[in-house]
Formats: sequence, structure tokens, C-alpha cells
Amino acid sequence: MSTKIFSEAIGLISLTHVERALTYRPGRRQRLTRWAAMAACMVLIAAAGFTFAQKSITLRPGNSKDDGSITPPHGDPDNGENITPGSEGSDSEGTLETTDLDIYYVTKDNKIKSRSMETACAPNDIFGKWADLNNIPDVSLVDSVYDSDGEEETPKPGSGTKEEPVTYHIGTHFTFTLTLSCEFSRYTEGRRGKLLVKSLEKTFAGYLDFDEFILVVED
Amino acid sequence: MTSDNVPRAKKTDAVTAKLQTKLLPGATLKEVIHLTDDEKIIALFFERSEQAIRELDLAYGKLCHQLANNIVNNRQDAEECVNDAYLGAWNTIPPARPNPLRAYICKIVRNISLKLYHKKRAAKRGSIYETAIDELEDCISAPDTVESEIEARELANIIEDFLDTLNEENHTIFIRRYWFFDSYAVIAQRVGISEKNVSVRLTRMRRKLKTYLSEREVVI
Repeated sequence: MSTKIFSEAIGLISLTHVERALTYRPGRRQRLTRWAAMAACMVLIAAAGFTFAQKSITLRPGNSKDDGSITPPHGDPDNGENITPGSEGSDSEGTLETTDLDIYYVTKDNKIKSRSMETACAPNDIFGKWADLNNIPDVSLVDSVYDSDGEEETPKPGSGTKEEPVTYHIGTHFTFTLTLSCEFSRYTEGRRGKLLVKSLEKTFAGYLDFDEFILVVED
Repeated sequence: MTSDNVPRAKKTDAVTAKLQTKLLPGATLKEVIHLTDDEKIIALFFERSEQAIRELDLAYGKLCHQLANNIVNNRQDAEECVNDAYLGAWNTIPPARPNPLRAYICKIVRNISLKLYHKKRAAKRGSIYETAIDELEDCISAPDTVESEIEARELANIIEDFLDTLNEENHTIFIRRYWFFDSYAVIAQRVGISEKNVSVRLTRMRRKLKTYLSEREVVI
């Protein structure tokens, strides 16, 4: 075999490989190398603080910005644990974490396979990896909500203090709702479409504990 | 709540802070815009509007010129190749509706540039393409030692399988080097690692490719 044939052969590979290389963006690891050690320390400190905080989770009225959805549990929902609706964990806490996660994808012969990939601990990064592996880079993640059937406990009126804490009781049934851009509707037909949804669910199931997976595609 | 009631930590811990965020990151948005642009350009091709060529050049002209220049190592020749590629796109769209358009036009540029390169090979020495291909000599045998040469298409399938074994970063480095014929410096800048690191990784990937081809009875 000559190098010319090899050159010709590599020119025949699927355009999806080419597009993957074109859309590649350096991961956080490269961008944050210099500060990685410091960041790791900060994450540890924040995680320790967060673990401590979850033992008595309450919210001051007015701090709650959420619409009923909650941050994912740091505990077992079966215990009816109270959790903070969102604002306790700073956004920066999770951004520096990376993990190896099995990303599931649908092969050309309609089989679901997985590949372990290093990904940032954020739904958009996980989704990005999944979309790239499934060759649907045009689909974007619009929203993701992790929710339970828990409810807020409204403080009794006239209890005296002005800043009565609002307590959130976590539920027992967890749902994870992903909203994808309308482009995804192009890929939902037929067996491959079902497998794509399944692979997406399996990918996030490796990362989140949920009882129900809800997929919403924008109009 | 007593400490006994503190439930086990879940693997969700690391992402908790991000889950309520409305997610439309810039990169994804860019891709959406990119897609929309592609659709517009293809629509112009279908309308047989010459604006399609202008839009195509505006969107991917720089990339195409760089790719062509990597191969032919001459600005003027590269310009000629890119223009021929635009003409090729004009002649094939419609009926073709390429998706992704960017990779499609790159492939046309690559093919045309390689043709020109081989045509002018005697006169054109020292291009990045030539250097990149020379690097592969170690893992590919000379023609006279080949017992049964597999077809380029079959080899392409094997290469695709090989690419699937690489992580995203190495995949990009390999494609950037041997499909786009980018220099180490350009790859290093794009991937965010040093030139030396690019060189080391490519060496390892070529070694891995050699084993991979050998295992699949591609004579090496």
C-alpha cells in the first residue's frame, strides 16, 4: 500500500468525522491548567460547606427564585429530606469538575453503544458530547430541570419573626426534563429516533438519579 | 435531622448548581447560527443565485484557502483550487443538499487541491501535505511488499473505525493533521496544547494505527 492510497482513503471517511474535528473546542482542562490546583481546593472547600449545610436546609423568604424546580438532591429523597431550592450551591461550584462518563450513541446499524469520555459536570457539556457522538451537532440543549414532587412549607402567618424560614420538603419521585431545540425533531422518526432518545436517557442516567425522563422538543 | 438521617451522597452532587440554569451556552448558539447560515446558503444554491457563492466564500472561504494552501503550498494555486471547488459546489447543489456544508466544501477543496498537487508534484516540494504523508511511511509498507492491497473504500472504513477509538482531542489532532494537513503549530493552537505534545501524540497515534492495521490484516 502506498501513502497515496492512504491519503485517498482518509479522504473518503465520513464527513461527520471532519465536522467533528472542525467543531472541536478545547476542554476546560487545557484552559484551566494553571489554576487547576487552586480550583480543586476551592471545590473541596465548597463541597464540604455544602455537605454541612444540607443538615439544616432552610431558605429565607425572598431568596427563593425558583419556579418550583429544585437543585438535585444531595441526599436520598426517600428520607423526605428538606433541600434548598437552588440558590445555596453557587454556579461556580460545579463548573470545574470533570468526570469520566459513559456517553451512549446509536451506531449506523441501529445499536446503542457507549464510550467513556471525560466531560465537565454540567448538562450542556454532557449533552454536547452526546450530540457530537450521535452526529447531530445542530441540536442544542435549551433547558434542563431536575425536579421532584416535593413542596414548600409556607410559614404560618403571625408567627412573630419577620424572616420566617421557608422549608422545602423534597419529594420521592424525581423527574429530569430536557428541552432540546427544534432541530431534534428531524431525528426523532423511526427506530433510530427512539434509540437516540434512549441513548440520551441512558447517558444522563449515568449521571443523575431520576425516576422519570421527560424530553421536550421546541416547536 | 440527625446525622443518621443524612442520606447517602448521590453522584449528582457535582452538577447540582448548574441544573437550574437556563442552558443556551455560546458555543451551542454559535452552532445553531452556523446551521441556519448553511441552510440559507443551500437555499441560495437551489435558487441558482450567485449570491450563494459569495455567502459560501464569506462563511468558509478562509478555511478553504488554508486547506488548499496546506496542500499546494502556493497562494495562487490555492485560490484556483478554491474557486474550482465553488464551481464544483455550484454544479452539485442541487440536487445534493449537503449536511454539513462546511465539511462538504472542504472535501471538494481537498480533492481538487490534491489533484493539482500531484499534477505539479515535481515542481512543488516541501508542502505540509507532503511532510504529513511522509510521516505515515513508517506504518504503511512499500507497494512491492503488499500481498493484497485493499481498496481505498475498505481502508476508509477501517480508518473510520480507528478514529472511533480515539478520544475527541486525539481525533481532532489526527484529522487536522492528515485530512486538513495543518501544521503542528496550527494544531497546537487549536487544541490548546504545545507543539511538542502534538508531535508526541501523533507519533503514538501512528504507532497505534500501525497495530490497528496489522490486526486487520492490512499488510504493513
